Amino acid sequence: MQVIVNGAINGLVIAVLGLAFQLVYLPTKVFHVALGAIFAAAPFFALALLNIGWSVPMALLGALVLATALSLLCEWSTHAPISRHRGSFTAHFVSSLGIYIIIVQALTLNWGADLKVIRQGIDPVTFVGDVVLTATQWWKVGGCIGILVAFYLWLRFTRMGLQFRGLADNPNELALRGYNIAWLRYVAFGVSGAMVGAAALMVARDTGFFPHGGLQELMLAIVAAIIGGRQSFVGPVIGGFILGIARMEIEWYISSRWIDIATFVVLTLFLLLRPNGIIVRKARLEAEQAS
Amino acid sequence: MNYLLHLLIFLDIYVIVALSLNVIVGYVGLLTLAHAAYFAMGGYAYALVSLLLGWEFVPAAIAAILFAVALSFALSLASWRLKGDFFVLFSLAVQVAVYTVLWNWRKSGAQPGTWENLTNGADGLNAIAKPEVFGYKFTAIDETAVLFTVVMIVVALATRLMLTSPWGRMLKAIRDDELAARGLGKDVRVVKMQAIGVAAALAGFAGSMFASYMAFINPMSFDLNQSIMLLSMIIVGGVGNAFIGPFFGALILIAIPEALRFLDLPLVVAAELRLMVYGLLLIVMMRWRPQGVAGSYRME
Repeated sequence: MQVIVNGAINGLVIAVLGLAFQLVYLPTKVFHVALGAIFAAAPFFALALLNIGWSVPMALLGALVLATALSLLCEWSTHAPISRHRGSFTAHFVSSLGIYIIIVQALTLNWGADLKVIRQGIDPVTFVGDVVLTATQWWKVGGCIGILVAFYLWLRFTRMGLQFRGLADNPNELALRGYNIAWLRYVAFGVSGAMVGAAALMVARDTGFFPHGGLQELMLAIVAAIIGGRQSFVGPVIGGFILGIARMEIEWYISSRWIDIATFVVLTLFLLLRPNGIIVRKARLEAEQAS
Repeated sequence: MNYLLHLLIFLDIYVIVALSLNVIVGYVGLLTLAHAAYFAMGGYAYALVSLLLGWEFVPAAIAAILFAVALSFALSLASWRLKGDFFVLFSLAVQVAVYTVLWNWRKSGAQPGTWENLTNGADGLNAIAKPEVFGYKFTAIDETAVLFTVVMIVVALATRLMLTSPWGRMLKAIRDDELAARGLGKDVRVVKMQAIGVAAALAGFAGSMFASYMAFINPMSFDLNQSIMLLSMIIVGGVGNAFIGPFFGALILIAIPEALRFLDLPLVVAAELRLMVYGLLLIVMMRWRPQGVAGSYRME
């Protein structure tokens, strides 16, 4: 039971990361690799703000704002101009890779490549039946569920959420109807950056952080998006949840050595046998071709 | 002088790697993040064959090439069905799988190279044989530099011959319009398989050169960051032509740290700055010069 609960909690974090990736990928088709660097950067922002004397809540808030700004900067400086020139997947992917490298190296240059920790002392634990939960795990559960619920409420019930779904569905038609596509793209990048920043801070409190740690988490997010389904905003959450539990089961019952290989075997199977993932949206052939 | 020769040897190795990656990216039109894995397979196959069986450079390098080609089917089969981001993700899976195997196939206390401890994990394999051709051992650095430069020139000429032949033009046709190539009766699947096999063979060969020169390899030389660097190298240099683009890519990769030496920076700072310059170059290239410094195919 403990293994399943631990896996589910990790799965919640992967779900948030997967959703953050999908949030940019689905409406813009940008493969936002730089999210890995933003994941790595957010705890460093918090650490820097703590070091200059900010209180913990203000430092966390400041880190979130900076993570959001960094993601917006990616869109403003790179992806928006490339999209204006009708750049391909390759152009976006390679540019995002470039941004990733720059941010990670800047972090390494400033803070070194070794592991850092925010949490001081031992994490207090609580017992729920036979299951032991740390304070950080409670933070993860609360934070991730809060983020997911807030996002789906925004997506389902607000005017901007409706526009956003329209952007993911058919950006050309939305533009022809007079909506500001560029502004909605900024919303996608901003919200995505904030989500990744929040997830990064939760993970950093648990296991620490280092400049090269973001790529691994981003890969899990992408795998979650592929498993769950790349055509919807629900898919990555389901994929993340399944992945979290599966990885923890493999770690417990087989070995932590082969956990990554198992993850990517699952990815390979999905890519070859069910590339649209678990959640597949039925659509007319002409609609699929248009998108 | 020795340092310059060392740089020349690295240039030779990386030019061959860049030429091989150019076949997949510039001629087949597929982005791959698994190239460090094929580079590694060549290096490890060479190291194991020379350490365990005592084979000389040429047969050991041939074994490394055959091993890399055999494992290239993983990527080839995926290229039949997957394109764009799906193919990138698949190649990422191959890279992670190979790296994980190299990192984890170890058992403390067991002899490196045995079935229980094949790769020796993070400690890697050492005392790998230096190049030996027809009984002559290339132990001095100047001799190795001459040998590797000659090898690089031969490989570059052979690659050029292949890529400017009708087969190379067919690759370009598949890259530009796969459906049209198929419509003309070309067997796209077989040609892709051949191209990826050739690229893996070259990468495997470069891996065996790397292992023989360094005399030590471990998985850290072949991680995902290395794959990203290799991809960056040819994007900056340029793809789609037979030699000059990949050559410039490798040259820039080698030249940037040398240029930074003039700034008199600490070694660690220079290493990080080198990668930052590379990242910046990727963004600049995609924005203003998608064909790279000397390429002929626009990566847009």
